[in-house]
Amino acid sequence: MAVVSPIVPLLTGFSLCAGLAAGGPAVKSFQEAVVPFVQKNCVACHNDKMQSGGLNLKALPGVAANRDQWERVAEKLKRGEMPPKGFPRPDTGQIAGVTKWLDDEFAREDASLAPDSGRVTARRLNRYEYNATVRDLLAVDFKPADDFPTDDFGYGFDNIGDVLTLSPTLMEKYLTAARKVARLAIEGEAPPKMAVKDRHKNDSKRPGEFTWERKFQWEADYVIRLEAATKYPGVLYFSWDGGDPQSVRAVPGFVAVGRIHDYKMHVPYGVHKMTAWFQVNEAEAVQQHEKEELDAQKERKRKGKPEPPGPPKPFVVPKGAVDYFEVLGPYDPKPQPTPDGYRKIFVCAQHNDTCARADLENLAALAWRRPVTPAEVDKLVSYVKMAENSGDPFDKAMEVGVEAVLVSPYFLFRIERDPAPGLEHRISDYELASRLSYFLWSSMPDAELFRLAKENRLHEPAVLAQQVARMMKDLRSDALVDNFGGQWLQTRNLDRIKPDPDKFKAFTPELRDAMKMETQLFFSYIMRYDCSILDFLTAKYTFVNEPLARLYGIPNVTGDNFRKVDLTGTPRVGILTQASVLTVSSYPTRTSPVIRGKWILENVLNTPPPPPPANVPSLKEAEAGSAMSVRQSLEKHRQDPVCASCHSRMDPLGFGLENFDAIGRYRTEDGKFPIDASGTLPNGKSFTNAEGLIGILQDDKDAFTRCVVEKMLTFALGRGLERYDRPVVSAIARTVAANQYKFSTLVMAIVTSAPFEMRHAEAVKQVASTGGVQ
Amino acid sequence: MITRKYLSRRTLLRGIGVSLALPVLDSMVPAFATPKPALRMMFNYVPNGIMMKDWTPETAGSAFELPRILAPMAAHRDRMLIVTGLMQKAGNANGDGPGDHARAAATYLTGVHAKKTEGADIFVGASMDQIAAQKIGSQTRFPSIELTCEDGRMVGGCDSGYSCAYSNSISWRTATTPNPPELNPRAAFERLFGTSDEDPATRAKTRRYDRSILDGVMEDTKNLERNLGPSDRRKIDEYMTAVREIEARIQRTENDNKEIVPEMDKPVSAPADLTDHARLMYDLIRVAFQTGMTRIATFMLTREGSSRTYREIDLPEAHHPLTHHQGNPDMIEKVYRINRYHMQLFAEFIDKMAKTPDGDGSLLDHSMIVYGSGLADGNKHEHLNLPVLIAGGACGTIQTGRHLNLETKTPINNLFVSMLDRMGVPGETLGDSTGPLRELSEIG
Repeated sequence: MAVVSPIVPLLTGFSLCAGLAAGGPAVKSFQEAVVPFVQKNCVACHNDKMQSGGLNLKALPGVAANRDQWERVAEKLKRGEMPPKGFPRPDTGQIAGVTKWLDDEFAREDASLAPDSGRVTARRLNRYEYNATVRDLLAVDFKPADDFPTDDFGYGFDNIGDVLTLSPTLMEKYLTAARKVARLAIEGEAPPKMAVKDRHKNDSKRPGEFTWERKFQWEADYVIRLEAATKYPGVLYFSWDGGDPQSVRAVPGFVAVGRIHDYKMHVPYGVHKMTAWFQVNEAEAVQQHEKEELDAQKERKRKGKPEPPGPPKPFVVPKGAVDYFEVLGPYDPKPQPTPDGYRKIFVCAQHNDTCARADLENLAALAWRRPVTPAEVDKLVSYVKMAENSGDPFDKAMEVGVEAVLVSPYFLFRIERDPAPGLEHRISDYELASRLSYFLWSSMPDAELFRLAKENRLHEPAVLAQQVARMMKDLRSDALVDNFGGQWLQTRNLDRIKPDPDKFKAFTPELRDAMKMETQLFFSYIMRYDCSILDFLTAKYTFVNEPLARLYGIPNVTGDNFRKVDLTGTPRVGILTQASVLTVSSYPTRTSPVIRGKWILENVLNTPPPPPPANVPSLKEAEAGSAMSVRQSLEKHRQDPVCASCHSRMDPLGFGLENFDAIGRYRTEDGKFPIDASGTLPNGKSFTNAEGLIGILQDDKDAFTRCVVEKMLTFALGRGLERYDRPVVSAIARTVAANQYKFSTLVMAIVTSAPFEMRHAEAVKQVASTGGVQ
Repeated sequence: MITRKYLSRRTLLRGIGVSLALPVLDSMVPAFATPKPALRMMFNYVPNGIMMKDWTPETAGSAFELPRILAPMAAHRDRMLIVTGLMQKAGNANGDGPGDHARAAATYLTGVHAKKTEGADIFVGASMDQIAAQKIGSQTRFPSIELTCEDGRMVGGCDSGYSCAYSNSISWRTATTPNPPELNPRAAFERLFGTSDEDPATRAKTRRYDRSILDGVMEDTKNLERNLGPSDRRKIDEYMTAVREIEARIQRTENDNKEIVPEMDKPVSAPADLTDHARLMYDLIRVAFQTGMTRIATFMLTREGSSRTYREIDLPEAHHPLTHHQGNPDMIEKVYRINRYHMQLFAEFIDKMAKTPDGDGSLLDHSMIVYGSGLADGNKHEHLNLPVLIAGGACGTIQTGRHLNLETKTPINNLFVSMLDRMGVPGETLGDSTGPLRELSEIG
């Protein structure tokens, strides 16, 4: 195996490329217009050795092959960020000359660029899509893909065709999962041979009502056990399916007897809701407390310790909490009712070989998301016959046919067929149905989409618009909130992030869930009520329940249910001040203006900073909190001109959010340092707090709109965006702006764009072609 | 069938109520285990580098003292070799700029410079464990196993323009297909040993059905493949290769026709506590080696660039940011504590390997287990002077009980080539390898 080393041509050897591509009259060549400037002003840092900012201008011959880098160069020059402070500045005329030449060159290149819908590599279903597809296809909801290896990410999303690989381990899991799905769909789940224990814990010991909605897989006898978490005696209440509560006295103590109570009951098949709460007996609690105080006093006397100064603290009777629910069972279970999957598979009346054909043809067409050929059905039927010949009864033998459907590449991959190599063409209506359903639902198309595909009408603009509207209303579009929203805003990371429990005691599992739910509800509100996407930045409303309202300091919100609240008069506005975003962009122990600034550049402005230079230590935020505030240490760091070039963009953005701590709580001080949430952006605009910063961000509606368009288009297509997608992105952004930035316009504009409706078949042989260059 | 042994072992376990720590009686070693001890190979990868001042012994040769990270291995001092001076040159930037964490993992066992891409054209190289697996893997039911204790699901990119595939896997089947490691010990157990609720006859029938289905699917896919463009074909090729491999595995299982019963109970799920999780994963590897299910394992304790926090040792800070300590003694001490904690988990595993009999010796005698990272000091992102510890006697082919201080910048790929040689895959080259590392078996 050879070490792959990149080809590093010399700057001077490439004067031809750019000059030729231009082809216009009397235009200065790259060699004349750019090289001398770069040699004089840039290569002292951006050379083979230092590669400051990851950029080596000696290795960038001409514009065509290195467009991204040259665009960055032009941008930096225009904004006055380069050369950095402290280095000699070329005069304004020179800078203008170079940037104009570059801009003209970009425009010339783009003008000759043929529009291209691009190609999407066959996409393997990711874990979420596999679970959702199996659920919608066979009504099996045990989530087989949770056992699959993690899907890799690319371009910020986990549905990118090129990145979703298939290892033998995964293939083996597909086989096992297919077998299990087939069995569950046809037979249902056999009850366990022995009773099992299933526990639902009140992790943060929150007082008040504690509920558990649980699916009971079998009609059977069960023992429901609940335990009170309390220091004082009281009454433990229990209500089944919202019925009248039963109560029992519970007392504290190490011995389980007394705190724990069991209910034996016969439970019908299905989902049931259990609710419990614990009420401390006040009189007994006060009595017990007084006794404890007295004992403590005696103990102090005995040991000769002084009495604590001042009057004793008034005693507040604590509210007791329920510790957990436990379900033990099933005892003496009845078989499950016929699974829904059974009816979905056996669509033909009889259970015989003739019907096996019809059943499998129906199933395969749904699972493979296209019509199937008689030969394909023959093959599937042959597996059933094989199993019957081995002695399996018909229903059991059909499981083998179903398994075969589910391990086929046509199920596991979304494969789009090309009429001829190299041809750009409209995808079929069946392929369009899948693109729509996996974009908006992360699952397979439903009956209506299949019907319209069969009638070849889905692509008709009116039909398409009506279907997209329908799909957005359907609850399955929650998948767009989870998968697109959760990855774009990175709130998925809440499951993994662990704020320091000593510093952030308020961060309970319930609060974490509430944070996640707030952003989900906020996103789905904008989606379902078709609000402006600018609301993401500027909304003065959000959704909270009691734990979150407590964090935000919003009064009069009680209980676990979420409600819409007005944020007028509070320092919060839009996603940037939601606890979910503020938490995922912090360190476990403290905030990081750099991470938050980077978050905004990446997810709001779509101008991600280049990675920090290799082998240059990252900033000394570490010292923050002791001798200097985070802000001071960052300011010191920005005195280094190399660092300043990026950090002068990132840090001020993050400073604007410094009034919110690492779990999104409002604060005016950080330890011993008062918070200074003011900042000045490189363009000279300044602000004093988060609202001011967000005001500046919302002024640049174009940048934010383009950002959302690029992210959503990436997710919708399942591929990274290329240069030839730029005109499409611009066009979608213009359409969105012209329609009050409505969410539905964004989705519709994506769905009707060329890259979504069309496909450029790959040439079989790789022919050297770079768009319009002659 | 060897159900008799199955019963006796299980009964014994149930009776005592202990599942893992029991020594295995020789009579229980599966009947088909080869009489000549088979050599096992394992890589234990830890991310974000190691505090080298607390890792590298001061003196070379056999009279070295164990620095404090290695202290938990004191009992196995004579059963291990510390190698200083090795370098994975392919991990260097080579003009690609930042991304040393992604490169550290991706190049570690491949020796190939990873192509910098977010995803469109992932390319690195087959890793040496897979080179071995493809040559000798057919001798065992599973050519290799890959495990980890950290879920890779963190949104927002992994490392500076590199696809997460690079930092999530050290094992690469081909240049474009990583072998993502298994996180869930229960799933890993079921993959190796099956689900216990099936009787052998049902299992045999299932295998037969599966093989017919896979045969049929192969035929269909061949037709499909003909009409695809190169990128789609690459994906379908991945599928076909995987199908072929599983068919072969089913066939091997049918041929040896043995029920293998592991010396451990089926784990329930992935524990949140790393100590518990790692113990289960180590047990799985040990049991897979012991039962001859495989001879090759890679274990990424956590992913490269991991920002895990360490509640297990009362450390609320995230690993990766800590390693950029910039000389701050407080942070250095914390990184040391993580390094030491990892080593404690590993030392426990080595204890058990040493106590697990295997033929004429212990499982440790017949293994070579490399503990290390693709970075040295995480603060500097260096790919030279890598931390390398080899535990196990490698069937007497490695002279242990030494600290081998090699010339700086010796290719680590030379070590890997030597290991391949010992695994029965001679004459390989890997990246910048110049030949086997003779010092493994000679007094240095």
